Amino acid sequence: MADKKRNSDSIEYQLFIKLYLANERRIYGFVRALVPNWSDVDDVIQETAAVLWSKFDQFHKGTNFSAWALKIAHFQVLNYYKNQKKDKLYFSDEMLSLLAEKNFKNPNTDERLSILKKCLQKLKAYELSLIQLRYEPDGSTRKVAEQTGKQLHVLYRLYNKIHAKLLFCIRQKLSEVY
Amino acid sequence: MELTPLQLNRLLTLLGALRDEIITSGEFDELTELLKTYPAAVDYYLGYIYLCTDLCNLQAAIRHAPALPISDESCGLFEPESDSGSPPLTLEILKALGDYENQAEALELPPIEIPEKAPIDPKPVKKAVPRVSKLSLFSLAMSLAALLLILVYPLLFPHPPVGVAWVTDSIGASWSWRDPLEKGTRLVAEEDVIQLYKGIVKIRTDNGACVVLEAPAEFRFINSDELAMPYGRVFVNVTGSSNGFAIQTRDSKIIDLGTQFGVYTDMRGETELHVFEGKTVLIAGFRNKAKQVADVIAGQARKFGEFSSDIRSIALSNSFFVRDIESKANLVWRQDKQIDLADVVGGGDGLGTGKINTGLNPSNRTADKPGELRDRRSPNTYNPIVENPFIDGVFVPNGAGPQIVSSRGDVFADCPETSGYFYAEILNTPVKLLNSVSAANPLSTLPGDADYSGGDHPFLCLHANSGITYDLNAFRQRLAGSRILRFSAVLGILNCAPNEPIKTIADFWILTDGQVRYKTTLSRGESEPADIEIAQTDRFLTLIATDGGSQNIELDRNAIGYDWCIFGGAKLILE
Repeated sequence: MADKKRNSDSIEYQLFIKLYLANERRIYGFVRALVPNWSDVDDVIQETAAVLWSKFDQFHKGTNFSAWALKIAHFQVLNYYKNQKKDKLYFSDEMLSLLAEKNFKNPNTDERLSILKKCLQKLKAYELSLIQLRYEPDGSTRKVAEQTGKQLHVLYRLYNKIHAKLLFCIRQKLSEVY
Repeated sequence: MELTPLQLNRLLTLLGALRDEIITSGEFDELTELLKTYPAAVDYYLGYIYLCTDLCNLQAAIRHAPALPISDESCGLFEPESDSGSPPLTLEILKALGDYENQAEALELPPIEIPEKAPIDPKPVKKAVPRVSKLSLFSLAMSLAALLLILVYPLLFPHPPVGVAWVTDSIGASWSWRDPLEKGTRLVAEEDVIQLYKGIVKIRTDNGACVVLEAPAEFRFINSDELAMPYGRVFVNVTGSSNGFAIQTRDSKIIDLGTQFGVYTDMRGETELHVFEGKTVLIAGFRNKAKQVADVIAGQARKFGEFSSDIRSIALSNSFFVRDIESKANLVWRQDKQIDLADVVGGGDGLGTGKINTGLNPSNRTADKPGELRDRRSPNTYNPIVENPFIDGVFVPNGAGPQIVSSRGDVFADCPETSGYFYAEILNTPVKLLNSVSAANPLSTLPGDADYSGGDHPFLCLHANSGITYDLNAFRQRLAGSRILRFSAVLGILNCAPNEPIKTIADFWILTDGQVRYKTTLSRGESEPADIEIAQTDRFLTLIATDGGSQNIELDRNAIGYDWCIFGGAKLILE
């Protein structure tokens, strides 16, 4: 089995990749919600992916891959919290378990993504362009400030507005669905 | 529990800082507190995280989507973006996310139907000659380009924001901007309101009006002569302004010319106007209500709003508005009627912002430890205090030579001869210390109406021999427009010395500009009130406690044993 796993052409591996990619956003969201230092999120995700693959033979095919993957991601987050560093921010144990509990119950990500696309269409052109600039790879509000010549605090206010619009829109449409 | 719009805005600001990885530990604590307190905040938090994740993915999807065919007639405006770097800020990019849905899905255009025509015999055709001159075409193209430029330019290069005011000071201010609210921050006339969550901010407009805003408040400058404030509390001093100044609330507008006034309006629209100087014009009743116009002059106050459309008279409140702040001195001035001099010794502004149980060493001995209690001899030099603008200096009087009591060189000619020893610092309300040094006779046993043992009643403690001089002009400068009328205090000696063999005696002195205005000798457990008038010309106020000589040279060699002299409720009374 182990040899089979190492073969990237194997059916087992192809299936794993398919399932992982389908749930990658969900796992990312889950870990980001629990790890306030976003630069560390990729490390936790990589470790999670490695553990998922190494334990994939224990996964009962046909059951909920997302739930299984999130449990392992949660375990990896707890491991990350065990090695806390002084200069980083961490949630308290109480807050971590509250966020994890709520996080497990979050609605289907595909549904939310499709709703988000509709909500984006309701934004004004300049709001869309700001969103695009901010969510460039390695983008940041400060970079947008440099690019647009706008003051940082002005941009924060604009982004607050835009994010609030999107959050309300997604909330409303999700409540119509569920 | 739902979040208020203010809290939601703050939550989003904190999440933005978290996402940008510039959140401070203090802000992170604030975020955690919000999440802990409001279940709705947790939902927003998770929603925000997933939103960011999805937007990152969408953006990545757009960047990696195959480029659309580029028309040759694009005139360079819609160049394909390069693989590296951020996309240029063109209209195409502005629309890119909006068009994402269309671009992501395969477009199925209906086939173009070409009407069938009867077959025509091919005949040689003379090449068509253009009927429009090239010059006309060129002119048309240039006109279209110019028109396009006119339309696009404002979008690409919006007008720079117009600066209208400067932040000149702030105390404990937290607001909706990411940039810290500091002296020197430039404020611009903008559409969005600024939310002041806590603290006080002082702003000077380009036209010279001085505005002091107290949290919670929302405001925005319409221009350098007008402020919109949906809710909040503001004091406006327009006396230095060349123009007038106007405040807009939800349902009113207050216009003034060269006055001092305050406006308070709550979230429901209930509004109060208090006019302290000059005259204002109040226009009340926006939003389809009948408008009422009233002149409100100095000494008057008016109320109006949601619950009553009429403009009613109310009592003017002098202390309802913060009129000035000075962060260096931690000064928050509300036109209070008195200045607590013990509070000033504790580093405060005289309005209760100082620290109790702290003080100043009357000597300039750097070797002394803070809070040290022991007999120490000191020369009678005058020691100026530079770090506190309200305290001119301190000293240990000994009467051996001319006793200087101010930085101007005023001399306390009647200074008695003392041992030249001092025992403790000059202290602001040292309840902890005095209750501990005298467990059997704590502060509660001091005669008089006030119980000083709990720290509720401030007092200045000068253990003999020590003196302190206040700069009255410094108070006058900070409290512009207010006169100092009197000084008052209850003088007394703590009842902590054993009855025998020491009989505690000390002298209390109150001076202005080196001249004795009040002098008394008290013994253990005695007290008496002191009240002196302060003239506008008086510059320095000096309070002194000197030993009354030793009653038992064997046991009290330095003559200062148990000379805990109290100036209870020592204060300057203002006009």
